[in-house]
Amino acid sequence: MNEVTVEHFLFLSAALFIIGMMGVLTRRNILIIFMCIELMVAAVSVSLVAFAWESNTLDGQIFVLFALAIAAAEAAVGLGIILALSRRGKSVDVDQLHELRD
Amino acid sequence: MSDFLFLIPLLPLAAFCINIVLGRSLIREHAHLISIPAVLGSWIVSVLVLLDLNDNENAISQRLFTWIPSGDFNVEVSLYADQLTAIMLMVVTTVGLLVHVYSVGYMHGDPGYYRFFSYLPLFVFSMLMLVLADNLLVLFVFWEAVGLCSYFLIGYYFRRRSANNAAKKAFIVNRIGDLGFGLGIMLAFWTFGTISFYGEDGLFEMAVEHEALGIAGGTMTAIGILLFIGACGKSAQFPLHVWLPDAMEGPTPVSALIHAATMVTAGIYMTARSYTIFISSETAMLFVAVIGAFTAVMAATIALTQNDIKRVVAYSTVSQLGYMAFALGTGAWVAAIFHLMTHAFFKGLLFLGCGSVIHGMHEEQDIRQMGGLRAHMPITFVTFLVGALANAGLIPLAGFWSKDEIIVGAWISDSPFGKVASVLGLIAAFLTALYMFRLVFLVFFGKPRYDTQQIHPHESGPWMTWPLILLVIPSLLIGFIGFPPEDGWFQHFLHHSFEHVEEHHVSLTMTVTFGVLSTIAAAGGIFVAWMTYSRGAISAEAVGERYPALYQFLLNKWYFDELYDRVLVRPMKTFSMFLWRIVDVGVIDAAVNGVATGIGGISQRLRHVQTGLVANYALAIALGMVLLVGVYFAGFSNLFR
Amino acid sequence: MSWDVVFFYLIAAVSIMTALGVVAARNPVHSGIFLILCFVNIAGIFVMMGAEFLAVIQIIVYTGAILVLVLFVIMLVDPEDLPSFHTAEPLQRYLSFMLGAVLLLEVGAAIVTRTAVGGGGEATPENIAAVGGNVQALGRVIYSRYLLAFEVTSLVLTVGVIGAVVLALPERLGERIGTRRSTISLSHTRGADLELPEGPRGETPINVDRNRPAPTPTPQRTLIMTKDPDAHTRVGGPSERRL
Repeated sequence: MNEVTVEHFLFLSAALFIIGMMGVLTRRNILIIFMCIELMVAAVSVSLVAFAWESNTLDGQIFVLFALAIAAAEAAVGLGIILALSRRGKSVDVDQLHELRD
Repeated sequence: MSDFLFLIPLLPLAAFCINIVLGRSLIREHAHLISIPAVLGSWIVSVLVLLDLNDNENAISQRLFTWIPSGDFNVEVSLYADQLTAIMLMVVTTVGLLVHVYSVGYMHGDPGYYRFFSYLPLFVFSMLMLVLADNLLVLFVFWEAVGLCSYFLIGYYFRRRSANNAAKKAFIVNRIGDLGFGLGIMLAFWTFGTISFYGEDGLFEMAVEHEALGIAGGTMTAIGILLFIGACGKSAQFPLHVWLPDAMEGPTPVSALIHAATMVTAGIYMTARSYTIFISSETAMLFVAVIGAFTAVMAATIALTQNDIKRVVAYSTVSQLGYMAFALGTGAWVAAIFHLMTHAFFKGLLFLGCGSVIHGMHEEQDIRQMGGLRAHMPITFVTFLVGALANAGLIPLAGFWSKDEIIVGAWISDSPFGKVASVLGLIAAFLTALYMFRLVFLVFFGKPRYDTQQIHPHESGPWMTWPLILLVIPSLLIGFIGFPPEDGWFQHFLHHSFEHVEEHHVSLTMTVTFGVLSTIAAAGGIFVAWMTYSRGAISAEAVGERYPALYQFLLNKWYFDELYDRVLVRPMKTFSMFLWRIVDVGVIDAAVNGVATGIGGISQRLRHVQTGLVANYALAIALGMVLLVGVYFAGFSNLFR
Repeated sequence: MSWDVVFFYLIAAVSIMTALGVVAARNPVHSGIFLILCFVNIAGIFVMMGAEFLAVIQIIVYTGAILVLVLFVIMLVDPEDLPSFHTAEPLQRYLSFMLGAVLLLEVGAAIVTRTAVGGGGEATPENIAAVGGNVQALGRVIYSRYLLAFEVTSLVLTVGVIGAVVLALPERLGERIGTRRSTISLSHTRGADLELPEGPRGETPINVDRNRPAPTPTPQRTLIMTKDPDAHTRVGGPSERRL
């Protein structure tokens, strides 16, 4: 414990990921679910960069860079869907969106 | 000549093929123009074969093709003709030809004309191949084939329920006999190691030397009895005789050809052919003789009471087949074949005559509705009378010589049953004459018992009468080829086929004595019939009323059909219903449907997983992920090791 | 106890607390603010691990752009009164808590018993400093080895832009493309109300049960009963023409 090792970062990443996962599974508001997904992505980024740092390569960081870019595109599209949903008059409550069942 | 043997069966087969394929469209009512020349061709070649075999004694054969080439077990289809075969070929083709000609007149105007004239040559082909076969397997194949043709032809009027039932009955009863036959074939193959008949290593030679080969006598007995059970089925001996009277549902030419002359004699032929197996076993011979004699008497008693003209003649056939059977059983092999030949001609004549009567009476078959037809149908009358005399066995017609030879042969044989069989044969001869002439008097003599205003019987056309006339000739004369008894041309001719039979010498006194006895029996029968049905001095009804139980017993054919129905058919039906309702529907179908319903039920329950909520699905994903990681840790990492 | 450790624990604690705040906040706007704070902390983590470029990008792109977008959408969407913000089924809630705990244990076990240790790469801090810093080193690697990924990512971003534009189109234009106003029902079995002649052997060509209830239209959609599968092929049908 005298030094910060990779395990510390990995534990942090795990904790953030699990918190994000529980948010996805528990909340009803779709926007909050979306934000929790972003949190999960961030947690994985931490983990990737930690491994890159440990092994003295840059690949992890590049991975995270691209993941960031993709997350941006995903956010745009996802939020567009949510906007379209709310415009059609559907609620943003996940428990009301059960058209997959019918 | 051996190169032309194949023509004998090939021509009728070709006629069948042409008629069945082109019959409905092209040929229609000219189908006889295909069949009759074909059978005529077979007849001509058969005559040539007979003449050839008369000159030289050796049998002729022609190999056709190999059917089953399977390592050591090689089955070839070859045609083999020796003297016995030649006699059978003559019988089959002659009667076949005359029946074909007769059918042109009889079946005229029938909508299925081409069908009749395709099944008939098919039958002739099957019978010829059966006779020409040289191994057990080919024989069996054509044994079944003649049964099949019989089914087709009995059920020819297939719209009639009774005809369908009769055809089924014939086929099924035959099949029961064929069970025995099949077992006999298997046992023979297992014992002898071969199914070929002839030659040095054929099974007939092996049967002769069976003791030297170490084959037990019991095995030979078993083979003999099993083979004869097959013959019982085909030749309508007790207890498998029940199909033959019902087979009269078929058209009369069919009855004449199949159920008088040829198919029913297949069993007799097969037994005679296998004589070496039978002479190796006294028990088997005894079995054959007892069944034959019993059948002869039983059928004769039933024929006394029947009222359908064809049924009387049918029971007569059964009785005469019984004669042939007990002749075989008592060792009079040549006599049996002699009687087979003469019987074919006069019984064929009788059946064709029945057909002429039925035709002339506009499909009336009950003899109680006939009478005095002598004036209206003279040719039929004369020919029928000759046939009846031959059947009764009056000297010097054909039936006398052959029947007499059987009775003498039985008397002098070594068989313990011989004398009894001989006496039973005489009794049956008396009864034969009695019922035949009952038929003659009731049908052709006396006052008409039908409505003369409505029915005007007429003589049949030339297509039908010429075969009748032509059949009179052998009925009168063919007995003389076996004259003098035991020593005629026929006996010498067939001697080559029955080489291992010991010759018995018959004294002249014995011959004359039995000749006289047979004639007395026949004449006595005719006299009693005359007294009862023509003169009316004895009243048949009174006799019937005096012994009502006996009369009913005979009239109902000894209640055989009812017995079989009770003992065999009904339990079978119940068993089948059980198998259907409980096993098939209750168990098998229920299991299959149960699986389907079960899956449906499971699906109904699993349906609730599909809630449509994304949150639930995300939970499922997370759950799966956790489980997978856990499994990985538990099983594949060194966490717990 | 070096300063690194102190800083790490501090930043880690704050990021976890803000993450919990994201999940537990009632108001979506509060959730968004918490997430921004969390991302800032994560940027700090990145700096600790020597990924300075990534940290700055995270703040600029993620927090500055994406989360601001999220906040805008939160404000655009009708605020609903949510009686309870957790999902309705208690099973879902308890199961997810349990899963979280189990997963934490599992991952913790994995981390602790980790045997695969990386190492031996070229990007040691000295090399990176020799090249001129984290940005330069990243640039060198991206534009040489990962050039294809770079180009493809730009393509993905373009597609994302187009998708967002399409999804956010105004009502009338969107309707024309998306909605099918009516359902074409080919469940009208072939000739079920026609009288078909019986076949030559007395059978009918299909199993017609005249007592079968007719399919009913749902309230949102009308039901077009058609016999000809080629009718009504164009989406929207005859009512399509209005704009």
